[in-house]
Amino acid sequence: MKTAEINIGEVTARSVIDFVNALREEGLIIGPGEVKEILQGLATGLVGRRSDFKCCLKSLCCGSRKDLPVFERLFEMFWQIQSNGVGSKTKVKVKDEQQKSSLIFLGHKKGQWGESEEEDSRSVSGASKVERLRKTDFSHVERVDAALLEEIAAQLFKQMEHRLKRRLKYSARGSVLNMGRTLRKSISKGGWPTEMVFQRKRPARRKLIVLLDISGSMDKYSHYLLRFVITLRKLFKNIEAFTFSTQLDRITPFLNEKGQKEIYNRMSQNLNSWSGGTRIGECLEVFNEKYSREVLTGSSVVLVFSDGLETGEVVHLEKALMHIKRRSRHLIWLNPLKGMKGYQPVQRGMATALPHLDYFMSAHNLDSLLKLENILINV
Amino acid sequence: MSEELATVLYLSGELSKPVLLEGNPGVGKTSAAATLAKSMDTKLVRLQCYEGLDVNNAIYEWNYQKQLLHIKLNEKGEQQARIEKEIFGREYLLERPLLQSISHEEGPVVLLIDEIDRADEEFEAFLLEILSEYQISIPELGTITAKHIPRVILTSNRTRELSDALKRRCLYHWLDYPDQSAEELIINKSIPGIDQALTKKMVSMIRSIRGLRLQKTPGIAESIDWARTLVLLGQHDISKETLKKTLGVILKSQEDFAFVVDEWLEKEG
Repeated sequence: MKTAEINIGEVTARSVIDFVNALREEGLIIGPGEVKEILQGLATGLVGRRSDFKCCLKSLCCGSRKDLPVFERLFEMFWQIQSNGVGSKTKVKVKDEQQKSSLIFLGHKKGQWGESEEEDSRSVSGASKVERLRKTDFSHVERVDAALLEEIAAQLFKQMEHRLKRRLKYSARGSVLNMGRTLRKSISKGGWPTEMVFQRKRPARRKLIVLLDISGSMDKYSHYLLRFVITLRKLFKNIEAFTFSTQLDRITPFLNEKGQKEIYNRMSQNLNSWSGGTRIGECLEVFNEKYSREVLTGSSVVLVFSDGLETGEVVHLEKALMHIKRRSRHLIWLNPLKGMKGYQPVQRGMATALPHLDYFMSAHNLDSLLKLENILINV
Repeated sequence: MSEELATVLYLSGELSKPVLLEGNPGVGKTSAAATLAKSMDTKLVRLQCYEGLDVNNAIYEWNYQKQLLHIKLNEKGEQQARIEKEIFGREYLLERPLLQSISHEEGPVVLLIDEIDRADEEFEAFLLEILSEYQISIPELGTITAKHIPRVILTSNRTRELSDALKRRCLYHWLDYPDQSAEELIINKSIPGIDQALTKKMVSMIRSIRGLRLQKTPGIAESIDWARTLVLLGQHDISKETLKKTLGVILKSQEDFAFVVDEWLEKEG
C-alpha cells in the first residue's frame, strides 16, 4: 500500500466530505457533526503524517469493529486517488455488486405440490379451514392455502406477541418502596424509617439466542420459522439470531420486516453449499468460537430450529452442544420432523443431541410453534 | 501505549469527545484510562456498569439518614422552611461517580465508564444526555454544570451492540493485544530487573497460546502474573515441566488446560 505523506494542501474540506460520503454509501453512520469535528481535529495539526490523519478519520467515522475493514479499504483507495492528483471530484464507487434476491429459498416452485400432499392436508381433521391449517404441517400446505396460512400466522403471532408483552410488562415493574418491610424495620429505630426497603427490581429479561437451520432439508419450514423469529424479535430486546447450513451467518441486524429480504439474500448466497448437506456440529462450533463469549451469559435461552440431519461428524455436535448447555439456562431444540407420525429421533445427529437438551419440541405447524409461548413466558 | 491510541486520546481532549474503547477482555482497556489519569496528574473517577444500574448509583442520592437525623434534632423548632432548605443542601447529597466527575473543582478528571455494555439500554440513553451537555439537574438544587469537562473513557466487551447514538458521540478505538515488543516492554516495566531472555521467551509463548482456540484467552494481566511467578520460582528458562506447573496462572479453565498440555505441548515439543 502507498505510504506517501499526504500533502496538507490536498486535504480540503471538499475532499473530506467526498470521503465521508463514500463511507456513508457503505452504510457507516456519520452525521454532519462528525464532519465538523473531523475538520476541527485536522485543524489541530494532524494532517502532516498519513498515520495520524488516518487515525483521526478512523476514530471519528467508525462506530464498531465491523466498520474498520470497510474504512481501511476505502481509505487506501480514496486517498491514493487523491494524492495521485485525479482530483477530488472523482467519486469512488466501491459498492459491492447487488446480489439479486432469490426466490429459490422458499421452495415454493410451481409444480412442486404433488397430488398426494394435497390429499394429506385435506385428511387432517379439524372443524374449520383455519383450524385445519393451524395443524397442517408447513411442508404440506397447498399453494392455494399458502396465502391464507400467512395471514393466520401473522394473526396468531400478533396475538402471542400481545399476550407475552402484557405479562412481561407486568412482571418487569421497576423498584418501588416496600412499605410493610420499611415500617417493620423502623420499629427497632424508634419508629423512624431510617432504612427504606425497596422491592427488588426484576432482573432484565434473559437473552434469547436462535439458531436456525436453513439447509435444503429444512427449506419448507425455514420461511415460517423465520417469520416466527422476527415475531420473537419484537418481544425480546436481547435476541441474537443466526442461520446455518454449511456456514454460520449472524442475522440479528436484519430481524425486522424490512430486513427479511436481506436475510433471503444472504441465504441465497449460501445456496451453493446446499449440496454439502448440513454441518450442524461444525456450525455450532463456529458459533461457540466467534460469538458464544459475547452472547451466551449463564442465563441465556438457546433455541435451535433444526431437523438434526447431521452430515458431518457427530463428535463436533456433541462437544458444541455441551459447551452451549453449560453456558445457558435452557437449551431447546425444535425439530419439524417430530410432528411426523412415527418419527423417532434415531438419526446420528438427533440421537447425539438428545441427552443434552432441556426441551425437545416439534415445530412443524403453527400450533406447535405457539406451544413455545409457555416456555418463553418464564424466560 | 500504541501511537494510534495515543492519537485518539489526544484528539478526545482537543474535541472534548468521549472515547469508546472496545476489545477482548484483558487487553488493558481499563488501565488505559488509569494511565491517562496518571499522565494528566488527575483523579480517576470510575463507574462500573452492571445490569440494573440506576440513577441512584450512578449520579447522586440524597443522604436520607442524615436528613432524618437533622429533622429529628430540630424537631422542637418551628422554622420548617429553613429546615427544608437545609436538608436539601450540598452536604446532604451523596455524589456518585457521574456527579463527582462533573462537580470536581480542580481541573478535569478522567471519568471511566467501565463495561457500558452491561448497563441497561435505558441507562445508556440517559448517559447520552450527560455526555452531550455535561450538566446534571437536581430538582431540589438546580442544574450543576461542569466547570471542567471531564475526559470520558467508555469501555465495552461487546456483550451487546451499543446504540448508534452513543457510538456517534464517541471516538472509537479497537484495542488489540499488544505486539511482541510492546508486551515485553509492559512486563519489563511491571517487574523491573527481569531476565530479558526470559521475557522474550514467555511473551512469544503466551502469544502463541493466544492463537489457540481457547475458552478464555489469557490477557496482559495473566502474562504479568506469569512473569512474576517465573521470577518467584527463580526460573531463567521455560522448560516443559515449568510450563506445566505454572500453567494455572495463565489458563483458567480445565478444558483449556487439558488442550494446551495434551495437544499444543506435544506438538511444540
